[in-house]
Amino acid sequence: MKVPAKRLNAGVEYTTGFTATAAALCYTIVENFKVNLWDADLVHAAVWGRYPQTMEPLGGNVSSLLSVPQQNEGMGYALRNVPCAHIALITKKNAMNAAALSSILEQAAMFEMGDAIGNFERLHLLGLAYQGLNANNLVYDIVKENSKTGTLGDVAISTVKRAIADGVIKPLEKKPSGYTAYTTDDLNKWNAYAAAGLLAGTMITCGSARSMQHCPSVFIYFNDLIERETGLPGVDFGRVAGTGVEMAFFSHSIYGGGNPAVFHGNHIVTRHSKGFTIPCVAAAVALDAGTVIYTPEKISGVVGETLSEVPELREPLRYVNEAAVSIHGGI
Amino acid sequence: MVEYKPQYYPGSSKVSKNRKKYMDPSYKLKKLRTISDDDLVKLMGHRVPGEAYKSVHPPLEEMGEPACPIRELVEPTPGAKAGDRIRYIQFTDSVYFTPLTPYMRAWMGHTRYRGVDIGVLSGRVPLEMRERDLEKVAKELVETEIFDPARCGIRGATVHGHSLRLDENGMMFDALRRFVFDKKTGEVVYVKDQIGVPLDKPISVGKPIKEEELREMTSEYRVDGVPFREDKEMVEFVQRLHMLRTEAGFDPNRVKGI
Repeated sequence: MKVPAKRLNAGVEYTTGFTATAAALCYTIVENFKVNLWDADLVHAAVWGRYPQTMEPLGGNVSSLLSVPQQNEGMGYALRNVPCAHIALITKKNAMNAAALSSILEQAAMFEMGDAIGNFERLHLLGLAYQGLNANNLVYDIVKENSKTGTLGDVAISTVKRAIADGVIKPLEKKPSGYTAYTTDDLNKWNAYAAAGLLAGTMITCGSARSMQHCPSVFIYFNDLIERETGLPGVDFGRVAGTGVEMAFFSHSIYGGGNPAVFHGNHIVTRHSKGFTIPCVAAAVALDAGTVIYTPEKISGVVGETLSEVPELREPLRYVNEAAVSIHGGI
Repeated sequence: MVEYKPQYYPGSSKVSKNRKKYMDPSYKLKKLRTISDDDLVKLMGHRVPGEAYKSVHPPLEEMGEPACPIRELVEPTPGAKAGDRIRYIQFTDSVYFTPLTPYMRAWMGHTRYRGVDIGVLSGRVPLEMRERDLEKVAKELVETEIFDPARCGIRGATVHGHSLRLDENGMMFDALRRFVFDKKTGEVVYVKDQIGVPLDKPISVGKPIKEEELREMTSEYRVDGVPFREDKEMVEFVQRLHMLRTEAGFDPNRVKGI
């Protein structure tokens, strides 16, 4: 099958990739197999599924990484609608790469949504660097420090220690009880450190249990613990903790939802943190050894298998690093 | 570098100090009673004592793991290594001066134990882990000072009762009557497991802790005990966090030196 590349490139919205491919596939099958007028509708059904009676090509045989725009929760959400199951399988269940790919998609979406602009641009860029791309090896170091016996509480403490050592936070005042509140002149950088700690905490908790279901508990209580440890706000200034509460309910409850692998940044209960939660979910899904009934393999189908053939998607850390080095060298 | 010691919890009151103590893993929880391993397994009801652990996937060594630097670093728990199912123990804590509040179960659980999944709801706190890991943790949760036989309930379902008045024996209400007060021995006895299936033999969890002692040990703020509003440091902490979250949401660059 040959898809008219010019049309794809000229597409005003990202669905052109899907529509052109699906239509071309139909015509190819009809022509090559000399399908008659009366059977052609079956070919359409096999390729497009139930569309257009449904919004998405339900039951169809062409799929795209991004869901249809009608399923986007709001403007600019397109890059957020990739389920964590896809991310984990595209990156071959490498937790660092899963978090990196997810963070790139999420933080790029922040630019498209209108979040990463003006005073908030640096917040998102630092979040991408420290949480998603392991800047200064922060995530890896904290995981390493706690890899054998560390708890989530230990990870929060390691994060605070590192933030103090790197001069990101400093003591503000000692209360009569002996409790010291900390302060910072760079809240964006503190947020990036806390976000890196959150990912490390997910890797320790979900990693030691080799289970994805623990991640919402991490989102709530890592933030509670680090806030109590420092007197400074948690990741995304409370939004990750709030997202954790909802996600815990909808990933554990008798009322519906699903396991963490079906969640994404465009999901009704996990959209609220601006790019800092979903990378951790992707890492948790990557670290699961097979504890869920509805597995990432079942959810992702051929998407993960196919797109993991694209090296830049499979190993984003390596390719971002190489690109950064080439730009830096150029500068 | 500034000298730093983990703080765990702010506040100046007795209650906040108790919270800090329970959350600090270097503090060894006092053991008050002994529950045999078999009895604990029966109370949770996930398997018969002596029965092999069921598994949800093959042992990690047999199935092999994908190439991942984090999997190489992070040591799996014994239960994860073996491929155990994930099981739970769930507690209901009365509002009347119990050692732990629901949130404390989560904070303490995450500072003391590795690989735990804890959720806090209004009247119940489930703790989920790989089965053999859970049994170890559950033992400490039931045998030590953070469990009061009369005011903490091991309840998998029909958990209602945390906010009701205590009965004439000082027991928290339980619609399924899983635990009863034995007047002869003065001990609390479980006659059903956590989801209400009758046990072949009753299991004693010991005598209730005295009211005066509970008031000293509790991590609950109460108007008729230690009111939250009297812990000025604690109120300041909560207000500070509320303001910082709000101001940072407005413009993180403007928040400086506070």
